Amino acid sequence: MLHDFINGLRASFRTPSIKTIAWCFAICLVFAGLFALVVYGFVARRVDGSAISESLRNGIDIDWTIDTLGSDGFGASFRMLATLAVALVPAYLVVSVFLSGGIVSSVRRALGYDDDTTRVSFFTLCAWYLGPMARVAILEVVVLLAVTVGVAIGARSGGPTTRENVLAWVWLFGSAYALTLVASLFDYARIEVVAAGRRSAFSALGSACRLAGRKPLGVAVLALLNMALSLGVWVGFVWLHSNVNLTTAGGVAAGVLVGQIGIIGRFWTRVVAYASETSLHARGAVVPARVEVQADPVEMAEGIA
Amino acid sequence: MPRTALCLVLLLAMVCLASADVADPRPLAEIAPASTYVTPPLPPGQLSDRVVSYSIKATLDPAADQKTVTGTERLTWRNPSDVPVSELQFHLYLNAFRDDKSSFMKESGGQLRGDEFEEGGYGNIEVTSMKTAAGEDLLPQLEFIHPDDDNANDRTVARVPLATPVAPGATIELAIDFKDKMPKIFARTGYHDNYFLVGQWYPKIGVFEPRGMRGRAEPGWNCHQFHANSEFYADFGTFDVEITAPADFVVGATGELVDTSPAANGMSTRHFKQDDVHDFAWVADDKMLDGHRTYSEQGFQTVEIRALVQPEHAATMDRQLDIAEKSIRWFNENIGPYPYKTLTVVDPEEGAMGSGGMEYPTFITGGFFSTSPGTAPGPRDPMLETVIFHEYGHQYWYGMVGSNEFEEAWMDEGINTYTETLGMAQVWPDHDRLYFAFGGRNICEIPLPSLDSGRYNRVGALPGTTRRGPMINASWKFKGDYGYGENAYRRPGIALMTLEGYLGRETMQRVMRTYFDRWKFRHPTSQDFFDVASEVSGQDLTGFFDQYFRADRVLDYAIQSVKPVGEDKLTTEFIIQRNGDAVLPVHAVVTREDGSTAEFNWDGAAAQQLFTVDSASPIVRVVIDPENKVWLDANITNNSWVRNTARSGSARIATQIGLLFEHILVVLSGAV
Repeated sequence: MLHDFINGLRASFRTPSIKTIAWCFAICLVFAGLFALVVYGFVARRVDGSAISESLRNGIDIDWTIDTLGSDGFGASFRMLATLAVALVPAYLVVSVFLSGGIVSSVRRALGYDDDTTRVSFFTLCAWYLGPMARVAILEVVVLLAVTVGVAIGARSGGPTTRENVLAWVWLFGSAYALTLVASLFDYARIEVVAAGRRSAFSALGSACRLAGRKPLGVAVLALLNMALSLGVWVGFVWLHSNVNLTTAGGVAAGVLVGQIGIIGRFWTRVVAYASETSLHARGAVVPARVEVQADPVEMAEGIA
Repeated sequence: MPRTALCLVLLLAMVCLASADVADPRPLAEIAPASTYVTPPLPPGQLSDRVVSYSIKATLDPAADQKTVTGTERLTWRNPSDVPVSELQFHLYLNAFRDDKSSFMKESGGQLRGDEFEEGGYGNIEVTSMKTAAGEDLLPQLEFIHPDDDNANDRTVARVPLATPVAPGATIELAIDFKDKMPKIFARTGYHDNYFLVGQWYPKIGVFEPRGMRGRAEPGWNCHQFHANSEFYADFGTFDVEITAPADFVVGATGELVDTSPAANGMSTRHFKQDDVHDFAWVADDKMLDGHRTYSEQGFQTVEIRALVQPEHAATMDRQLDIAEKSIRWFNENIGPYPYKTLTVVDPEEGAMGSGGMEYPTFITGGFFSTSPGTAPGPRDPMLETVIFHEYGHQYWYGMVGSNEFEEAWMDEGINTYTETLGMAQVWPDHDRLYFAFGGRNICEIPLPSLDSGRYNRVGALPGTTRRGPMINASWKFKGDYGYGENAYRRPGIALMTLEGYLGRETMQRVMRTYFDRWKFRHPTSQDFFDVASEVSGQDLTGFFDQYFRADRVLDYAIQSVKPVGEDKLTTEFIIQRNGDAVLPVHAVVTREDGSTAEFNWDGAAAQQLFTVDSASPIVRVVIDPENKVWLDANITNNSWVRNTARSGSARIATQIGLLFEHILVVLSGAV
């Protein structure tokens, strides 16, 4: 599994992976940037020209927050912001589902598995796998919600019995790992969709579970390594960001830059995860004869062209 | 400007405030006039006019199918008025939990202070016998009354007509038998497993207010029903209480433990006594740990502190004793001496937090509110200090200064919130933390911005321009838990902080000390507090109290414009505008580019005021209330004008929120 992890790391630095990360980042930036611009207008309208604007350089001012919450028109403004956020999140999730087929395909290319799709554009591949990927995503949301509820109930009732906070951390880590493991099963399901051309979410998940059954240690350790990498990148980002002096215009710009590096880092760890899982999948899969699909992506792309 | 000069200007401004003409067609809330009743001279060693004397023998039956307290009460009551009294009125508080038809349960909907009434957990008090010393049976005449809301199903107040009225100054002695079925812990009292917090548990006589007491024109009973949002009011007196409970139970109570003696069937009788208090509560538990410490300081009463702590919180025993000791010290030094010899701090058990955070004379309950069930408190669980300090504060504002919590709740909770704000900031200056728990454990603490803890009260009393009604109102008339909390605790808390801002801390401290000294062991009204404040500060503060306590005026001053005038631009005019209908003197500071400053004061009465300032060096900043003394200000953002404001503040907030949003998107998308 270490071999797969290293394979994944290497693949993440190859062109198809880098292009994928760039697309994902750009799309995410559009969504978040739109929201940030609206928030900026909201804040600036209220504070520009006042000393509060200066104090906000030091972060959220509690008095300003209280006043803003109580100010006339805040309700309407807040509803507008909340509506925008509520609209943007599902829209982005739909886009993410759309992207997942392209991400897995690109990662396979980076690993040298899917040479026959090299002429197909990233977005064409995204579109090609949208149906099955959407089905896998819906199934994943349902399963993850169920697992999350189980973890929450366990945390309340069957948590550690001693009073040491360190055990709470262990418990927290265990819960996070359980969720990661379940999520990684769905990664294998997505890989199945692309590698084996499966169109059914249940069939893809079943195949992923069988893979986990054949290589339990590999799946478990790889999930752990990917979680550690993701956590490490996140901790590094938090550390870096907390060391940026945000009280000046230059500092705010640096904060934005570091923040975006952190976001890119998050996408990179996701690509590493997919790539390492794809590597493991390639070694462990009982690859069925490739299911005949209605149209080959290459042909489809040519058709589109 | 030198501090003394500034203070003088502010004092002058306060005088202007008193005469400010504030046009508001709505009438001020009616409040009780100042007290004119003169307490009779007290014998040496006696702290209060002891109107009542209770001698109670109570037996706890903790059996699972019982959970009862059976008691006999010998009550001696003196008629303090100048008229004969032909009926007695009693509080039977436990009947609030008799069924879901009581006023308390209807108003609360079975939920109070975040605590939920447990299904089937009803409790009640039944008076089984009531006789005079002459043997006259009063029970047949006992009837339930409901003076506040006409709820015929409410049985929390009873009246008993007397065949022979009690003459002015005479006493009546009653022998009362009663039986409590304790409710499952809810709203301060009840049981949870073998933990019993026994409060509001005995037939308690109401207050017969003589002419002039609390501004009363005619003598009469003041005995309100038990409401979801109301606490208590009672006369001072003596309590002699013998509690018989299983010998292996730890028992703590109001007052001094004077004797412990064995009783039949493995029981033990603990005998407690306390003079000059107006209530008595106790706790019994089969597993509490019993910690002790002596507070001793020259010039003050030595106090035996007792902390009754749950075994799972054993590690916090010293901390709880420390908090109690520091609380006693702070109030002794800043408000007035604590005269009692004991203080008992109770740590409620898990599942019994409905009894946490409550005050009784010499007996308070704390508890860990901010941790999850099953949680070991973090070493700096932020609520513990706050809760114990707050409840100890009630030894002053409720315990000794016996205001009427039914009718003027701000006088105990609001004043206590104010002293809590001051005390917490001084005793635990780095106290504020946010805690995160997982799996029943605190795993992370985050320090909050360094603000006086009380400043967060502004959150609960969102300034804004929404009118919230006068703070002085019958407590059960406030809208729900929030309305009560806002008007009894937070708004008066920040109003008193605002008053302190203008009077100065030293003057305000004299106000508080004088108020305590003058009204301890008596029953003041709001007006009595207002009068003390005006007298001590040397100003008529009627305008201040009228606007914020008797009305719900909105305070908001804003910099309306700042512009250089004249061809040479050597002068700048700025306008301060009054947006709200409240008036308060305004202090503004202008800063020039060369660093020099100019100060301006205005009585704040007009709709707006034009100021002119020399601006040979250009004006870069104009700020109203630069020291943030006016906690009542509805909008602090419009208090300032800054030339060439850097937009990095807005940008920082927007980019941080945007980044957070971006992370949320990425994390969520990881799941699809």
